[in-house]
Amino acid sequence: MKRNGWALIVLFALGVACGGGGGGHGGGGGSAPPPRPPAPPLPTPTGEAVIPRTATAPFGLTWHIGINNNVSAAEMQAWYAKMAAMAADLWNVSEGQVYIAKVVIIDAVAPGHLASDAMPPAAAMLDMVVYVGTTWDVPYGGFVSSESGRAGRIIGVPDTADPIANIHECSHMIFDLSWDVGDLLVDEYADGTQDDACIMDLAFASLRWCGADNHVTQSTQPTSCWQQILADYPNFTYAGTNTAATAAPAVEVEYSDTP
Amino acid sequence: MRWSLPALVLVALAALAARPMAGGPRPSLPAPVEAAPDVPAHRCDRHVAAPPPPAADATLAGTVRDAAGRPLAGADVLARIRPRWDLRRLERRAVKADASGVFALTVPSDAVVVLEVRAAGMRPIRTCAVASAQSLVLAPGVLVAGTTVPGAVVEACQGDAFEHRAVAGKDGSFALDGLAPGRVRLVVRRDGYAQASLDAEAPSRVDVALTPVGPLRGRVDPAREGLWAVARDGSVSWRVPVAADGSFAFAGVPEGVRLTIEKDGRPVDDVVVRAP
Repeated sequence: MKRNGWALIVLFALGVACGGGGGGHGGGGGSAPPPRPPAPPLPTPTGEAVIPRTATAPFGLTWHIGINNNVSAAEMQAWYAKMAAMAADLWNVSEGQVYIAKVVIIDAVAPGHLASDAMPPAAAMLDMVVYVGTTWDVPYGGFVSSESGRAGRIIGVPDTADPIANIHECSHMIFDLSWDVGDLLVDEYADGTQDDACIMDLAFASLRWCGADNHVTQSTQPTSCWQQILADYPNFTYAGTNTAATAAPAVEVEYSDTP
Repeated sequence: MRWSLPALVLVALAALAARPMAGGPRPSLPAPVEAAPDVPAHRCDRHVAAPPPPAADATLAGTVRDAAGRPLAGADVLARIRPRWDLRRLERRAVKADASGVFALTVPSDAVVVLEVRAAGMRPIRTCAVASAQSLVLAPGVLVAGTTVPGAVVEACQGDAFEHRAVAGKDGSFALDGLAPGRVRLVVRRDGYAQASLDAEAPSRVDVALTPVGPLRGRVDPAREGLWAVARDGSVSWRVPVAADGSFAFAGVPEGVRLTIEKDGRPVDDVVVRAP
């Protein structure tokens, strides 16, 4: 009975997400939401958003990042700075095997869109959606959704996202670091926070992915992050240094700024 | 309410996921989900369990000192607090250490707490707070200082997942302290200027010139659908769509940028760009 009840609750929630035609709150009657301005066209995406299983290191990624609202050039540059910081983090934790080669930052991809809404249509051509100010209306630090995205999954973060949230969601995104079935993207910490030496565990105390030496087995994650990466990406290696010997490559940027 | 086939498939998957797992001994799954309506279930989270009765508050206290044992008065202590019943939920609380380096925070007793601690001139640390009393020791950092455009934001990327940010003063001077010795990438930005990105060694002194930007307008002849105007300046480029009448306008690009007209990411060479 309890299981059935849960299934129905999930069903309801999915109905809100999938059947509501974009309105995420299912408010039930009341006045119609204000019309949202149309989004401008998006540039044709190029480059790899995630790492192919046959990739060889070092591998450069290109991310197409949409900011939901029309923002100033300064705000777009601020997001570039966050991505440059994340690129340096990624270069270190991957021990110099993965870097962000280029980011394409586009604003006004879904004006007024809320984080609690279903992903906007533009998300199909993006790898990350940034929600400005109060449009981030969910009580957590970021998410990866399998609902959309150019590679079949997409990151959602607030414009205030901190570095550890960005590298955590990035890890889900590029390596598909999750071990659950179906379309669920879960974390190392599925059974609760147990391992403070892993980006994928919410403790985030260390800037590393867990390895065979420190992984805490959980119901959904039989192996550590690095074991999973090495199994999925045979051309990658792990020396246990969790840092890169050289500086991260510079991150090229392209802005598509709606006036 | 409309129902699509993908939605029904997802529902079936979710129901399958709800079944108890077979196999050897495993930790029990969280209690049945009572997802709040504003939490999209397609970003499924098995760890969104039913919220238990509110836990009693507990005091998380500690001291912040340097390696010599001296208290670091005024150190900033930021706590990221997550309830165990929903580890995605994030709350931040901040306090300052007193003159003795002592700080105290009230947190739910069942929460996972990560502390981020900063003090002037010291390298920040991040630690999982598993004990009620924390003794936190910070190591000295190094400084990158210099000058740039007044009011510019200077950010340092060191691959340590900490934010290192300074704002240049009226005289254009800035100082980023608490850095690890070694390489650092600086990103400098200011409204009305093109951003700059450069590598430096910490500690060091760096002077960063920013290039002013201005509007750039033009008209593509002949006009056609799907064209983009792209202005490039080194590793930075700007892209705007070309309107149906062939016009385009950049809000702000530096002088001397290289302009190309593109379609589907490839240059188009059978058009000319004229003055607006």
